[in-house]
Amino acid sequence: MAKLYIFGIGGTGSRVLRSLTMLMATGVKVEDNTGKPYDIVPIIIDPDHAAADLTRTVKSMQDYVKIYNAINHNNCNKNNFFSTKINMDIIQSVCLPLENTLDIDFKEYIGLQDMKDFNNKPNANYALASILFSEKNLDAKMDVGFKGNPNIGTVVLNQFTRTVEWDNFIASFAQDDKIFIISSIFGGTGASGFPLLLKNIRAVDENKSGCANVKNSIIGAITVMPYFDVKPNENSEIDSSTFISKTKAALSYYERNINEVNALYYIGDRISKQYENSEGGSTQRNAAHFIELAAALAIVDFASQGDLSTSNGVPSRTIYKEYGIRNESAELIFSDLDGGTNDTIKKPLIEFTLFCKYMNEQLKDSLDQPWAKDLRYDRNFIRSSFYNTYLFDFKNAYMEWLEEMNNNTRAFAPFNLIENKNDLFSFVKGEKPAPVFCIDSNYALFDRYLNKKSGKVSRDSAKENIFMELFYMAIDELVHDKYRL
Amino acid sequence: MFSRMYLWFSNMFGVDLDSHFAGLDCDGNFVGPDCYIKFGFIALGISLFMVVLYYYVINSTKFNKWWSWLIMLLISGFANFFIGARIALRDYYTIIPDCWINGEMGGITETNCWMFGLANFFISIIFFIVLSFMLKWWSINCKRSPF
Repeated sequence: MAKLYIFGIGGTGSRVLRSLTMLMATGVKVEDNTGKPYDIVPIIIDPDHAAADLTRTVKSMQDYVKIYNAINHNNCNKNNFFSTKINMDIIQSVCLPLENTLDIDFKEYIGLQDMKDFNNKPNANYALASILFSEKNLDAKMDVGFKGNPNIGTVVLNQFTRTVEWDNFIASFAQDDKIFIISSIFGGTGASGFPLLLKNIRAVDENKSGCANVKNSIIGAITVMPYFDVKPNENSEIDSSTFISKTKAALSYYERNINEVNALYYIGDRISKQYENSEGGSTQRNAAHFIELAAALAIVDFASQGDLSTSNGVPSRTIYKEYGIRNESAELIFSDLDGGTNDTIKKPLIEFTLFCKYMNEQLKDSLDQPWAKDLRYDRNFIRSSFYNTYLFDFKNAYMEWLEEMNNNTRAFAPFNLIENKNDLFSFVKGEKPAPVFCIDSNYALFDRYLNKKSGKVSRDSAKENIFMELFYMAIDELVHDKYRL
Repeated sequence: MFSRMYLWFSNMFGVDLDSHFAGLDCDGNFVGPDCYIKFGFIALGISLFMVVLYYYVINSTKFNKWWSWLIMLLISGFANFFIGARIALRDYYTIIPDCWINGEMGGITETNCWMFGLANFFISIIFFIVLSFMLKWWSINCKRSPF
């Protein structure tokens, strides 16, 4: 199966990958123009390995992979949840390691102290470095990233081509594979990493096996422009007042120099949310934002592009795309999005959210239902590692992701996530659920669909697979009947 | 068959009322009709109606617990109890000859009529249980009820 290598650079890269992971869990497919699915190979480039944005993305992807491996993916299965493969075998740590960035400052990294002539006086290199980098730059620690300084990132990130992981990427890259790069333009890591990565892909070392495929690969990228702000903090090197000017400068650079991508997506929003000012580490935990979800949709769109080609490292043409919504609203619901977005995400999101709500609010009370008794789903199953660790953790991460988008500004709040067992199907805002004529309602109706499908689900596979298959089949029909989707 | 079933409970409502419902005259000759056929079909019909109502009409995920099945069983049982007792009392006041009312085997009193209703209750329970276990398997939401 063809692979789509997704490079997530910096915090924004991690957060967009997080959104993509959630979308894929709901059943959003990453397919080419003929409907063949891609395997996703996530690669994160971020010196700040402790960043919460990165660690929780990796955790979600690890849970996703465990769940994916526990269920079947043949044509007999109807389940769309977790149906896209995330390949974490090629880059097992997900991250491209950056060496010598811990506990040293930038001037040590570039060896500024050694830039001296025979008389032990600063030489020309020292003078050049002093022009390119301010005192603050030179004293900057890099263990939490480049703190909004792309000029530092450009130097430090260049080392990733010397890693085993980079070699594995090149060696595993096949002819039909594609590359997508996610980066922000207003920070440090993403803004410096994107042009650098692109250059290293197109000018890949020709002695390495698989290099021709990489050089002539189809590359897409999304450049995320400012969509949030950070609170002013004198002690922080991150100053959001420079976001716009940095963006302008970088766009100007892109205009002149970024001509090696086959598809370039731009996205941004009016800045209306101010996050806590964190330079990095475990406190850099930005709430999920709709922009990241929309950026993840760029990956889905890019995968489906069929008429892109590259020869000799030069794309035949570059397509440029931006993202828009139908209605300008501070709190987006499905009807505020355009038809294409709704076609892609509406049904999967509703289905998976309903699945998560059922697990949260009802499952334990329904273990005496025929579907559970017939298929032997009992307390032992609830305590199994599949359910209690991977699925449960992923469900919590998914609900947290929704909550964060719900509470962010601009909010993406298509669901009422507060428990309401007496009016379950009103949880989709702006949608009037259609009546289903039977004696049961709410979760009792949900159980009715589960009971109905339990007789139809194939029992020739592992319990985990049957569980996912049963729930998908029931929810799919339920959502069709209630929301006409 | 129905006569035999009612015979199991004849000690509850007395030999004289049993003889009357069996269609015997005061000399022990069969003059008909055998009322147990009527009672049996009524009990069977009500039980079947309640079982079908529970498993295929209500057929609810909220009402598929052991206690919901028990409620239906008791409704069926009490319906038969009152029907049986009412018919016995009506006969007691109208058509049962004095030879049975003052019979040698203890005769018939109102208590016997109510006890006949109780016998009808137990017979309908038997029907309900048998029908439940025959018909529940094709119910989508209640096949695990009562267990």
